[in-house]
Amino acid sequence: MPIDSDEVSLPRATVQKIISEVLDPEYTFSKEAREIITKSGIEFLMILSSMASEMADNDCKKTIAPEHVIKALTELEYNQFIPFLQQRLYEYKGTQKVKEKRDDKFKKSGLSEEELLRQQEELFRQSRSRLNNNVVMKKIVVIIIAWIHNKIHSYLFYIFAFFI
Amino acid sequence: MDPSPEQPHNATLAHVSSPDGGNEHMHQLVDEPLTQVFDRVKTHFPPAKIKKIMQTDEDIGKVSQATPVLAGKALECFIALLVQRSCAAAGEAGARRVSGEILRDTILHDEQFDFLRDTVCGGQARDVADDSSTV
Repeated sequence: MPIDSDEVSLPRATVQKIISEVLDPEYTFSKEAREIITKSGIEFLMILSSMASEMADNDCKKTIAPEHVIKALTELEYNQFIPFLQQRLYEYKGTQKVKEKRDDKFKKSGLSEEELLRQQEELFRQSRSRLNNNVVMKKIVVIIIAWIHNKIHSYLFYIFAFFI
Repeated sequence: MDPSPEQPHNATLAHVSSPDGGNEHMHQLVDEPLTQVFDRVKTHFPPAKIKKIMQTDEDIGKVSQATPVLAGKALECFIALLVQRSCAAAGEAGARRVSGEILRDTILHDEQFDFLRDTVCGGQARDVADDSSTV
């Protein structure tokens, strides 16, 4: 079984977070202990994958499915994990349904992706020009107010101010 | 599908074989049911990362989309289990800090982690395991 576990590792922060969630608050975990946890975790994942792959083969399936992972846990005598995996699968299927609904809505609008992109560009352009108009309006107002208050009669000043 | 997992917790601890009295004493300290421990885990590994690691093994072929999600959950449970067991061992030894040595000890003396023995310490592991089983 060719494994090069030096190439990949688990995200350190995630491992640390899980340790903190589980660990009794009175205890601390040394750095070395955390590294052993990470290494052990990877090893477990590889053993689980290998067994799940075997379960898929037994089923004459080319793709490893969730049921194969669950069967693998039984084979490896980690049955106590199974209810939690089933719970996770249930949640995952729920979020997939939400995604599908969103995708369906997109398809139902009857517009192609290109057309939608064009519409989006148009909206951006409109809002940009609205923004520009606002800025010009504000400049005009500022200049008028300045004139009223200071009665600056230098026309050069106005021309300059307009282009700032 | 039943969304709330119920599992008789005591049965999971009984599964671990204890060749010596020391092991049993250690497990008596783990009075918190494992299901409660697993429920505390809220963090998830990113499925993409899990899939990547799984596929470093050339023999692993295609995986369905939900598979890395479940494998990730199993990994989270596994880490929780290891943390819980080593924490109990530390308590047993009167330590508040779970050191690398305590963790290694836990792995070497617990049957459920026998596949980790080589990872944790090369050739020594087999000698230690043999010692504990001759008692």
